[in-house]
Amino acid sequence: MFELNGIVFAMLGAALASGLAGTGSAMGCGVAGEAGAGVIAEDPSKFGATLLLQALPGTQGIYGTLMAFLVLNKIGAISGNFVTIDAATGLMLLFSCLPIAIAGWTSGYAQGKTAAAGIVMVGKRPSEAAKGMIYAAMVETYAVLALLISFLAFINIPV
Amino acid sequence: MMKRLTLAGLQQEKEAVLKQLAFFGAVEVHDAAPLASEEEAAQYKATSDAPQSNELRDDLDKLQGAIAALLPLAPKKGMLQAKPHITRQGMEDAIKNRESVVATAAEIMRIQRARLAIAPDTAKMQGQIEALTPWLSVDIPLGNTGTKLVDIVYGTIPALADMQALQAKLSDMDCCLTEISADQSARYCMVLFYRGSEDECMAVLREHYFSRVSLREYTLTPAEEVERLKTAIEQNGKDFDALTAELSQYIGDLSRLQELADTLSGRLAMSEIRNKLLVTDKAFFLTGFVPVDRIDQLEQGLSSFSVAIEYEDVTVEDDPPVLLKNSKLVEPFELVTEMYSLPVYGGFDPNSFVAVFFFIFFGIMLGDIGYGVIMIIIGMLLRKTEPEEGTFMARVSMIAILGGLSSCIVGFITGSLFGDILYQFTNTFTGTVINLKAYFNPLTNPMPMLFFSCGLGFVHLMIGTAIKFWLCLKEKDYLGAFADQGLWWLMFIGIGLIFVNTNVAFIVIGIACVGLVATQGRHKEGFLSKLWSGILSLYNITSWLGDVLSYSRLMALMLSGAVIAQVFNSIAVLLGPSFIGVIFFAVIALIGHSLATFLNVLGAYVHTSRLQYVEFFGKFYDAGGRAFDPFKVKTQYYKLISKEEK
Repeated sequence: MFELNGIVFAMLGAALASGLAGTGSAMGCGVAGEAGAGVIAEDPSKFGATLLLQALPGTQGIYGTLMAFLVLNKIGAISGNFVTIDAATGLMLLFSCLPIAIAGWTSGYAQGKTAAAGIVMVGKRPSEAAKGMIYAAMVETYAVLALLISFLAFINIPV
Repeated sequence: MMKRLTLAGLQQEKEAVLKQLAFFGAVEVHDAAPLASEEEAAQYKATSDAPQSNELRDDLDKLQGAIAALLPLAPKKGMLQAKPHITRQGMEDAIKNRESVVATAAEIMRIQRARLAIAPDTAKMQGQIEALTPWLSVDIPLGNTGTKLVDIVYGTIPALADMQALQAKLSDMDCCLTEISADQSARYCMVLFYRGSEDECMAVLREHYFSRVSLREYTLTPAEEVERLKTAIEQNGKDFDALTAELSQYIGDLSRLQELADTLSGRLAMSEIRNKLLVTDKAFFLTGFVPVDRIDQLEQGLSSFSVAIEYEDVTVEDDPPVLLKNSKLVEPFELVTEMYSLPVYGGFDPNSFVAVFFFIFFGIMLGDIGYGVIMIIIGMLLRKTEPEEGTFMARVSMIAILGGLSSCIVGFITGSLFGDILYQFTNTFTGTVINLKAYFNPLTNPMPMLFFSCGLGFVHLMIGTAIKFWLCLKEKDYLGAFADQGLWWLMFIGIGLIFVNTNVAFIVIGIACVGLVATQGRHKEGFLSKLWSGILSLYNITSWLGDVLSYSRLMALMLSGAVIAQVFNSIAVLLGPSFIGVIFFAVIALIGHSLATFLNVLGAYVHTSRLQYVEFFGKFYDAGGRAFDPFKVKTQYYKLISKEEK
């Protein structure tokens, strides 16, 4: 245990990126979907617009998975030929995953709530669906920025 | 630009003039100006057209109902089919047969109502069969209510009730309880008792939770009743088929119904316009707005009528509508601006800039030849419906085509076709690796891409301030132009000079800072608050920083699109080079890239719009206009064309 292999940390990073960001997206899509079902109960023809809004908080989970995939690929987990890295490198990989893990989790949920409000708005004013999407996109900005930092931190870590 | 139009015409030509205006579609009619005095008002007749409007509405309801009834029976049309054409003459012809076509519609509605009433009736009878099922073994007619001395009652007792105790109690009375059937929840019982002892019998039964079931509506035995109901249900099914067949005979009339529906909705629009006119015995007056560049056409169209038209200039106080005019390539992007808000009347129309940057940003964010081609194909398919220019469908299809094109260009530069599908496929299945040439790879050179994104954003923002600068100059607000925009430009020049000559840079930045502190508080009262506002304005440098960094999403979305595609491709080749591997590859690639196309297009659209709305419009845009809504025949089923096109 004292000769820690960095792979463990890298794995933890990938797990957090995919798991936490995915949790945020799942909660966000869930909240939005509940609102969508309410609107559809009144008027099934609004399914398209509400589905678009429900899809928006789904991106955080994808960003997280994307980061996890990059890390897994770098340490050779996908091909099965694991590389040997020291603990410091492993920790760097872990930390590079944290921005999208944390911001993906929180912004996914927050965006879901905004999207749910937008879906309720579509119920009353279907012509304004685009504005609801823009409100939701404001929240996503921070997931995009976190992904950017995760990526920039990750890309040149020597393995 | 709009003009206010006042049109005076002869009463006898009113209908013809209105029709001409409706087909011309360039005049927004508004309510007649309120009359100055009662004497003046007395010269005009009441113009209510309500009875005619109501009649039109009634007929339209019938037609729409009949069309809705027939459409599910009619042969399915492809989703992407163009609407058939109709001419003005075609509409005139359609209205000649109004009475007979409306009568047909009423007949269709009658059949449809009878047809729709069958399902609830069948459901009711099925309910009755269910209710009778527990009583099937009763072999006396249900209409039999007993003899002079004996009464018959039907009812249920909960399954958990103690039957032996009940039977024991009843055996002492003039009462006989027979269990007909039982299920999980209840026993179904027939009770015979002497009419004289009804009260005591029922009291005992109630103690054991007996509850009466009324079967009074039936006369025959349960088995016979069920048989009768089954026959009736079968008959209902036959009736439904017969009515459906009867309805199907009218499918040939569908186009006539639709023609008339479109014609009558045009008439309804005209009838609503009539309520807005001022009318005397001999003449009528109409007021409204008309775009300046269509006045010539309008006068030409009305040249055969004896009308007098007067034009006045309008000011913002008149609340004139806004009609934008852009080239064919820019026009579709008005959709993007309209989703935010139209510019105020006479305000700056940003659509040319929106169009150019939407094209660039969308391309960078989607950035893949494969996804771009899919967009182009979807756009082309949508255009097959021949949407009318200016409609949502026409604009969306053009944006899809242009966005797809832009995406292809960027994808060509970065060598991205469904991510790295060519490399993955050939590497796994053929042995000889084929790869697209990448002139610039953002995955391996992220920093240049980041600088490029923010630099492009800076250009976008600077164009925004330049527009504001120009707008200030136009309004002769020179101080505003140079203080609010010019000083910030000086600041950015100074920041740029840091990399050239630090001393000069600091002098330039210093001048800009002093200028900003001196001018930014100019709308405040009192020296101290002026100074304070001026100093606070320097804090805006952080909002500039935020605005520029916001464009890093260009790069982030480009990267995420590329990596998502790569992820799907690497998963697709996991089973290696075998027959099953190829099948697996095809399935995963198809599902994965369909999903990726949807997500990437949605993301690219939303974030491109956001950069326009928040960052770009924030720098100069004056929003809040009202859209031009001309008096026009709006059709639902047909596309109205003028004769020459035919």
